[in-house]
Amino acid sequence: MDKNPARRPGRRSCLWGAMGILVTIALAIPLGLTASAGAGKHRIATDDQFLKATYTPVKLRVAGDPQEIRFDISCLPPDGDADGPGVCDGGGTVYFRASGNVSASVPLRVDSDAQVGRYVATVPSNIWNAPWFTYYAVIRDNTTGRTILLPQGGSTAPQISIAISPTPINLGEHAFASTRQPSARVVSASWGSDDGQVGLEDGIDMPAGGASFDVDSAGNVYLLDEANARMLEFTGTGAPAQIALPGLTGVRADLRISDTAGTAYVLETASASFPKPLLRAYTLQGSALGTSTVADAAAAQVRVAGSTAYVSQYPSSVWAPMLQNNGRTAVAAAAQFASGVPGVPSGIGNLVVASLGTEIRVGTYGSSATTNQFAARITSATPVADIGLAQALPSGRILVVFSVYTETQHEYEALVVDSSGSLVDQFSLPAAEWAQSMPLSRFRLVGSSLYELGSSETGVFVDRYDLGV
Amino acid sequence: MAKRANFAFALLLVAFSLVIACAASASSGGVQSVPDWGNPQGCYYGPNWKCWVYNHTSDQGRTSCAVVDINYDPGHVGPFGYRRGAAADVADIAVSEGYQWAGGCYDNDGRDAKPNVYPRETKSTLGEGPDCSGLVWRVWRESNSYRPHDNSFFFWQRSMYDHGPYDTLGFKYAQSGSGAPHVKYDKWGIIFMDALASDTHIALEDYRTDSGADVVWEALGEAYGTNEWIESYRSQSRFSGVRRLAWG
Repeated sequence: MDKNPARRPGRRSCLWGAMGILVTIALAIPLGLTASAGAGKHRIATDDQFLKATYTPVKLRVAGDPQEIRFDISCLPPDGDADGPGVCDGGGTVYFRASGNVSASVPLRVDSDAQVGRYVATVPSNIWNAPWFTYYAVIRDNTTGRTILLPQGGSTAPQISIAISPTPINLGEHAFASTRQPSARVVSASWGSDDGQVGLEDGIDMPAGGASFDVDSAGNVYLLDEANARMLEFTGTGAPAQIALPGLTGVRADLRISDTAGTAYVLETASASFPKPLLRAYTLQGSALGTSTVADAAAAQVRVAGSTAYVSQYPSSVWAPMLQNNGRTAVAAAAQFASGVPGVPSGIGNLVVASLGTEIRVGTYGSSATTNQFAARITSATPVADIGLAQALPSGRILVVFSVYTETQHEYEALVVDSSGSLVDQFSLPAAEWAQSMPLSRFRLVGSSLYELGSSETGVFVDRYDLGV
Repeated sequence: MAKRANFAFALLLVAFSLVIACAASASSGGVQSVPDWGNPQGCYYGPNWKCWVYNHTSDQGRTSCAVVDINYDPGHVGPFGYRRGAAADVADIAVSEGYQWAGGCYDNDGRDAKPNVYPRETKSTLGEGPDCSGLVWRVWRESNSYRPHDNSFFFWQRSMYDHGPYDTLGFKYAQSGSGAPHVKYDKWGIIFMDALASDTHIALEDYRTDSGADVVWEALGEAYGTNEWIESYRSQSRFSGVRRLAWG
């Protein structure tokens, strides 16, 4: 791109400038002066040909929800000019299968009035009214005939929709500035690159550092220091151990520790060096075990189930296995797609969440995708966003932590919900978000203790909240 | 007689061309004003002109810096003549093409020709890629004039080295009636192809994940380039919503 850097013409360039003008005139006349009249037609490269689709999965549905699935499709417009005003001529078919072996295929129709979700499939009533159904879409560029699947696992690993009907927990208006005091501050580190410090990332428009953390079963805290390509282990006594993580590129990342296997997983976001997110595995002493590239376009969270590390991948909106054998064996892209599951594997089944503007839904389903085991529905008069954590407590209850915000305020809300979906406990936590972290990596639950990652202008810290429920 | 006339005409044409070229050179090499979003260190601005760098020969036959009128029209459609989906094509092409402070232009080869070039986010090194506000201006097809009182959509080519007139503050704090083709908007209601802006950064909304985070297009920095990331900007107090006006 930069073979022709800006040249600043000077007076000595007059002759060359005059020749340039003459040549330009000579060229412009036969071309009809199209340049001065407007945009010249851009030459379309093969690289321009693309097909992309996104959707809003209806993983947990309740009575009254719109009986439809909506998609957006991006591709070159029929005139081939990505820089012009034309729009993609997309289409496709959604394939459904419900309990009782009921199936249907529905062509996408265009909702020309819609600003978002222009391609719509109305779900047939015999599918919609079933306890659960699965579905996937074949998305098509009508101009080129190219197709893609969404989710990309297609019929092998479709999306799921489960009907739930818990009594809503209505939170009403959120009361800001009444957050719970932490039980203890278990980690505190200043910004920097010396021993025991955490680095602020270079090469970014915003402050970012200490992007993620995790806590092992003994309560030891591992703090990712991506800018210094290491993690710090805080055991509660003395200075933290500094564990170098060779190969880290220094961008924001999620961290997960499996102390039973002795493995640390680092999910790096896309970067200038790696255009797709990358999952790396290390021993807890920092020896590299394996790496695997995310098959889909975007990812932010890693979870460990048994000896397999799963990553949430988008736009498919599935959890795909990426490293097996405790971090030593990479899963190929095709196998990631073919093995993706809509809900993250956990001890209480596959856990599914949905954040819907002013409502949070949480549910689980069994491995056969036939039974809905747990469901909760939380409504709020204050907007809600990121579900930072949804996980079972030792008591079998579910802890859900999510953002509540206005135009000028932001806190987290923590709810403990029992197996019937009823509220047991509720409290607020401060946002403490001076530096950017990974977006969904601020909370961890170990036993009955909730840990929160925070930061200020002086450094990064981890607070512990003992729940006692 | 005819030969003499032809020779005289040629001399006249050359002389005329020299006068024009010198005038153009003088203006570009003369007083340089610094745009309000900072000194681009290589892309020169005046009150009514700017220097664009064309990197592709396929774009208007220019391969180097050319002084053009700031009111130059690359082709446009009026308000409501352009869809959010068409703008998404522009954003998608910028993915993996790098970051350049005060940038910029890019191709579509899926790589940053100059990643991690110092001094990174404080000075233009004329590298590949847009910066965060330049990406939004380009994808939103806005005018090159600051607050033009015109919501038309302008078809800037990807290879035009042009940042546009707005920094992040110019997006974040745009009020209704200011004359800018965008306006501050409740971030609760942000949808596809709206933006989330802080004082130092701005990102374009693609879609929301099931966890409530947003997948956004953004030019994030030299170390990151331009790509789509999952972010929690919507809930962060430092971020506000911004909406481009007059989508079709």
